[in-house]
Amino acid sequence: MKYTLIALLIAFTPLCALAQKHSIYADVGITNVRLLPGGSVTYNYKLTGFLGAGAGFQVHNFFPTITDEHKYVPALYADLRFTTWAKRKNSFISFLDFGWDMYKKDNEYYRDSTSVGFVPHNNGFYNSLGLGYFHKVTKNGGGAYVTLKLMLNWYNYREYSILAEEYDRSLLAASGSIALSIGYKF
Amino acid sequence: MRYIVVLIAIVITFAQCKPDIEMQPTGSYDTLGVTWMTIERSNIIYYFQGTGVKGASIYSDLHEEAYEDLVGIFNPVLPQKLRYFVWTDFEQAKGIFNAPEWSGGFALSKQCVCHVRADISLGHELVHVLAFWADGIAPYTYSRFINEGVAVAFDLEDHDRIEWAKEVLKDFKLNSIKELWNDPQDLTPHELIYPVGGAFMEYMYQQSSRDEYFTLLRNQTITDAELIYGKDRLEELIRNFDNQLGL
Repeated sequence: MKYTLIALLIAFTPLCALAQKHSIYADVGITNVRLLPGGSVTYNYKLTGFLGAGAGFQVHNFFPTITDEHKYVPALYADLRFTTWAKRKNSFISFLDFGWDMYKKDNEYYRDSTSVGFVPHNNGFYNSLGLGYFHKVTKNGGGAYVTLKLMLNWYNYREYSILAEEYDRSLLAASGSIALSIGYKF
Repeated sequence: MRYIVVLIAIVITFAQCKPDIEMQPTGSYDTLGVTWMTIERSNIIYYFQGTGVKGASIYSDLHEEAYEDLVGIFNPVLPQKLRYFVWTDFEQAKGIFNAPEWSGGFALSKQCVCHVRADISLGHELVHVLAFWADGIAPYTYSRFINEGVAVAFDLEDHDRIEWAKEVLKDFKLNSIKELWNDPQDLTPHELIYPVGGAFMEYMYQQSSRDEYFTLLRNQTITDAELIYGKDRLEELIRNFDNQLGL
């Protein structure tokens, strides 16, 4: 872990020193699913004093759908990031991500007392909302942060009713988990 | 000739694109105040309290698969085809059969009949019937601990039964599983007997020869088990299992 952070520091510090508009957020964290570890790396371009946009990649462990076992799910996403009191040493950050969860679905069926259902497709739509606290360490804006984010995987679910065919339906469903992460902004 | 080739190609293409086989209802059946939609498959005749064909078809697929898996374990020889009643309103069944409030299904093993709520574990009630008729020989003696235990042990659910039993035991005082086995009045709470019995019967399956295990299924009291395993060996098996559970 220590070496990973050092490597990221060496790799990204020169880039970010060139222009404070560009930054990289790298973090590791745990989800509420058996406290298994994961992480994310997000590139951010500062649009205004408090708003930035970018893209990122993450891997976290959670239950992507109602029929899947918990598993590591990689995701690519676009990121919108807001910073309050951006010029101060301590600030709060919030972010909104949209993207693509990549997984191969388990071919299992879900049953309840009147129906059976399954997930027809691999992959899902990724969406997360996070809040965090940032502490500036370097002059060019680098520093440590901690975040708490709610991650949702949106997917299609087909349900067939035993009760009557008119209750058969295709649903947009979401499976969620929470990740607590610590990271460094380069 | 070339038109025939094209036609065959089209037929083959569409044949490959055909979706999963959808079983059509084979009829209906009136009993217990319900008109049941019936689907007869190779292993089980299903009776659905409902008319959703696709849902019932998938449901029967899952149970046919489960049945095939369990046949490999129990080698059942049933006197008649298993009849599986799937209730979408199990409250109604509870009223008719005077089933306990907490139950989600029950088996009339001798008659090869199950009545279930649609969402209970795939294997549980099937095992009651298939274990009853294992090798074509019905049990001579009965113990609720063994009977429910084997149904939980092979319910085809993917969970750690020892961990489940340990979790449940945090809420109950128990010195040894013998207390559950020796319960002629069937007074043990269901919250305790299912998980602990399931873990025990899974453990015994691992520790026994096939002959021993299936003799135990036919002779279920603790006195019977002493004859099957020998008193000392049974004591050791129980002691080891109690230790696993932290008793």
